[in-house]
Amino acid sequence: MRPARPDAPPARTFRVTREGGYWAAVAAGLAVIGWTKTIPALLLLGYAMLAMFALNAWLARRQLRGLVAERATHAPVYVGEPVRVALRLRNDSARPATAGVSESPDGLTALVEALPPGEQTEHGLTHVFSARGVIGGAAPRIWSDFPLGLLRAETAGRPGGELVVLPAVGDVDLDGFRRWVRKQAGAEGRSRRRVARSVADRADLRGVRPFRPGDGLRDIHWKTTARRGVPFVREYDAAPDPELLVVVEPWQPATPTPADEVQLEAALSMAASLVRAWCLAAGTRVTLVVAGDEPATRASLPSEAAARFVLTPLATVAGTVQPEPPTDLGGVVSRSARVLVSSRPNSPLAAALTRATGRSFTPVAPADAPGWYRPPTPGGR
Amino acid sequence: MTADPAFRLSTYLVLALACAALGVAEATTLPEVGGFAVVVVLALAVLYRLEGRLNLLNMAAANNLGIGIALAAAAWAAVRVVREVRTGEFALLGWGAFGVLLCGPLLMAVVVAKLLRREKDAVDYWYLHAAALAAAVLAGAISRKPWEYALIFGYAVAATWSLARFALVRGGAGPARGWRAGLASAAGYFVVAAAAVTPVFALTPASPFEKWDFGPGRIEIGYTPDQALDLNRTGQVEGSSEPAFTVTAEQDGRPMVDLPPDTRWRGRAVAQYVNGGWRRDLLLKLPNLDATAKAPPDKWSPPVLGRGQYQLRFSVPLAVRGDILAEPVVWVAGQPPPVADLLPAPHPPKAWLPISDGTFLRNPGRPEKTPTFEYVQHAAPLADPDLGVGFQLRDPIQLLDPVFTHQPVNPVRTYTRQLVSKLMTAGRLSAAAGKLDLARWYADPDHHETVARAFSRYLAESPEFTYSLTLTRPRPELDPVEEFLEHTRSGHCQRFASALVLMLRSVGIPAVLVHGFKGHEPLGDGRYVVRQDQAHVWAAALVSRRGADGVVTWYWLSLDPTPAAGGDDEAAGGATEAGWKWFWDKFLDASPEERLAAIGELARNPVTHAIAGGLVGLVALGWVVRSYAHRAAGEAAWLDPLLTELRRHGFTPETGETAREFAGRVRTALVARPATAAVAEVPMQWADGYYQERFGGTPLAPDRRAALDAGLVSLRAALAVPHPG
Repeated sequence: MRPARPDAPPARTFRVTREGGYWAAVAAGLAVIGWTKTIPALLLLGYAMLAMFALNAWLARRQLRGLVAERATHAPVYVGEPVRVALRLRNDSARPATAGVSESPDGLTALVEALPPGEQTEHGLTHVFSARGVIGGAAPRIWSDFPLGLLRAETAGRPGGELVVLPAVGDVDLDGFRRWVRKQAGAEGRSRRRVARSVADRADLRGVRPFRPGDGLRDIHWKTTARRGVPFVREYDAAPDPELLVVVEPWQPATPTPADEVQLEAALSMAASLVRAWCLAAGTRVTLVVAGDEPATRASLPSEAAARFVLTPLATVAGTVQPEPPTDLGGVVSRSARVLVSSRPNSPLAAALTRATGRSFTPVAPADAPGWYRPPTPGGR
Repeated sequence: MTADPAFRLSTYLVLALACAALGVAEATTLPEVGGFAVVVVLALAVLYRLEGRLNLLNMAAANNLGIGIALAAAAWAAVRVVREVRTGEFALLGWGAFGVLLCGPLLMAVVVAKLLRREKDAVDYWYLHAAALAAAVLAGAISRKPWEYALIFGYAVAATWSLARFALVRGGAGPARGWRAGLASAAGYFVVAAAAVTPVFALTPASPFEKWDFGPGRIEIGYTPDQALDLNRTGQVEGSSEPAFTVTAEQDGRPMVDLPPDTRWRGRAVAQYVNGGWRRDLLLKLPNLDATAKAPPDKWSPPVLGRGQYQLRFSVPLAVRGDILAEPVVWVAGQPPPVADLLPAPHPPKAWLPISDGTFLRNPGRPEKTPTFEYVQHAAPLADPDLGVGFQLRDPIQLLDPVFTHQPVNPVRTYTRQLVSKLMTAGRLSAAAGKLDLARWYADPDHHETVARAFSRYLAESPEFTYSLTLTRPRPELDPVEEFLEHTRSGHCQRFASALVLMLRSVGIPAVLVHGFKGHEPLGDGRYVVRQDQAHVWAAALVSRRGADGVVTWYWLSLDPTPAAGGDDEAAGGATEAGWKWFWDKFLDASPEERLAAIGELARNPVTHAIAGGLVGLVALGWVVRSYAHRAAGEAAWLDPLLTELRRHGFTPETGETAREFAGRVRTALVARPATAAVAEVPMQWADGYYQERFGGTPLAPDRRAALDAGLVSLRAALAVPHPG
């Protein structure tokens, strides 16, 4: 790591600290008393204190030369998930610097003594966020009140490094979800067989095996059962799940009540939980579509990181009175299980989507309390 | 918060230095405060050692302790106030300043009580620093000695250090790496600040307000003809180096350059001792002489005084308001007076008027306004200069004004009788001389001179008496002379001379106190200056000698009982004291003009040149060493990636080896290995890049830098291949 010539320093501000104010007042008082009463020691002491005040200003300003501060980048996190938020401070000057870096007036702050030239230090703390959103983004502040803390010189670090906080996620019983989707689709008039093939394809028969509790009666291979005298069931190769298309409807009335806010957050948590569970357990692509004033579509192959990427739009989505159905969903509609997660029960958007795409969308709202979903508990994931 | 060792140490140091400075500063005035400061400093040392191992007090207990200490301090202050009401010991100081001084122990007690508190947060440390600052400010207001200022300076450096550590601790920085962390830089900051304010201080105009003398009584040595001599005063005796008057000595028309260095310059004599002081006599009725000098009818001509006669031409500022004459004043009965005013031309010299008591009176009025009194004294060496010129008394000695033998302090009388016995026992006084009149306990008049000389010698030479410029009154209820003789046995010339006068009067020897000067400073060509700090007090006793023909001749015998300079603390201070006095008078307690003059004087002094040259040399040396260190650090930083990689494989630069030499050596080794032959040039490429940027002043192009990084990656890969050797 080579020390480089620092860039032109950004604008700096000065602020007299509370201690500095007292210091200056005492120093001036001593000087005045020392002068009026001809007490050389007091006059000298007062002058020296004032000189230290000025020296503090000069040294504090000098410390900031060549310092770069930035927020450490971090993948999106869920509400309730512990995350280490960190600030980095790098010294690009040719001399050691004693300075601090702060995230915000009340946020993370750290002071480093004599950071060597060319070196970098990182300071952070573990944080648990209680609400979704985008945290930070503004430039951290670099400050120094070296050496006595009487004046504080401040300058801006580099902006960026926002932390996306996703909605809290609950527990999803993915098999139950699959069955629920199949059931809901069946209720729309489709043939049971077709739904079964599209949602849970069991085309590739591998062989038979003894019956285990939980196996369906439909899977009993009667011939083998009769021949062996004990129940045998068919065993299939795992067929790939269909893709999942989750459409989120952030509906809210024109004048939302706190209960409406709760419903919206619950809907977003449900959608996030679904997508995450799908990404962790299933092997097929997931697509998230946010209807509303700021429509967004994100899709990815399943993984933990992909879930966070796909769910990013939910961090900032706001409630809307009349969400427009998303357009141009493309071929994903035909190859996916389609779910509409809404903040209101029996959302009319499902019908609208069905009309627009020719495919049925299964609506669900937190108020429906489906059996396959357990919402996040407050204060935890 | 106390996990930072440097902060802990610096905080305790601040408190200890502030308390020590206050204790030392107040010790002269209130000796018990000095003792209390010693206890506090020791307590701080113990607390520093035991903190962390000791279960300190909780908040309530610490508060109770503080209240207890405060009550004890208040009780002590009350005792002091009562004593002050009874004795008026600090009357010169004033009640306001005295009350502030009484707060000193309370400040120190607060420091200890606060430290004993178990839970201390930032506010507590601020309070501690505030208490220390208050103590230092009080010490600064009192202090006038170099070591007192040194303590305050040490406090300021320690406070800078501690506050710097405190700022880091408050900000959440990690603990210091060592207990001295930041000390050198803090000291540097304070020195820089002090140096920066010195010119501002020098140019600060003098205050038009009344000076507030916060410290103990400061007794200015100087000739004060209009003031009484008060022996009750305590404090530090200080002299001003201001010239009092100048003298030009001539002998046979040539400058006289061998004027005795211990010449005494007689000013005013006083005889009334009242309440521990010498009251100024409006008219001192000395005994009349049988024959005196004779006033010239018109034109004055110097008397003929015999072999070695010389003349002293005085130039005395009007402010001195004294008729200063060199001792002994030699005159001859019937001849013109030896002293005459030198009037501006065309006026001839005008003789002083001879008085019947043997003294001479200056002519009243001056024909023209002049800034100084100019007069001439003719003198001649005598066999015994202390004895002066003998004379016969016109009136019997019994008619002598009783003021010359009035001795109001009975304990001194007792002391004197015991001393006579002691001197007789020691063989320093003959039985005849020591025989006292049983009625009045007076000595035989024929032996007055012997007794007087013995007393004077005893005071001047006895080891139990010491000369000191620090005047204390531990027993203010006693008469100052009694206290001096019986208890302190320490003081300045006024105490010695006063004691001798009262001792002489105790045995019936008439005596007066003479106020004047002693010594001079040659200016060359027979010119001498006598300064205010050469003011001196001695005694004069009226003694007689009986001649072979039975005729009694009287003398005013000058007796100087003050121990000779060299054994006193003034001499012990030596050059340091003198230097500090100069610094105080010319810089600290001076006007801007005096400060600038002092700076100019320093600038012309070769010693200053040598010191400044040495400092510049040291700074230059430090700069060179630091630049070398920086260069080495820069080299290490630039080449660090390469050196780190090579070090892993056993290639380490040798002492004194340049980067290029090292790269060449590594290249040779790499070429010898098949796996690394292809990358053997990489170290040399790095060295070339380093030389270009470091010494060539040409920054490397980004592509060249990228090529170096890529080469390093290749080198790393090649070196990772196992080498059969």
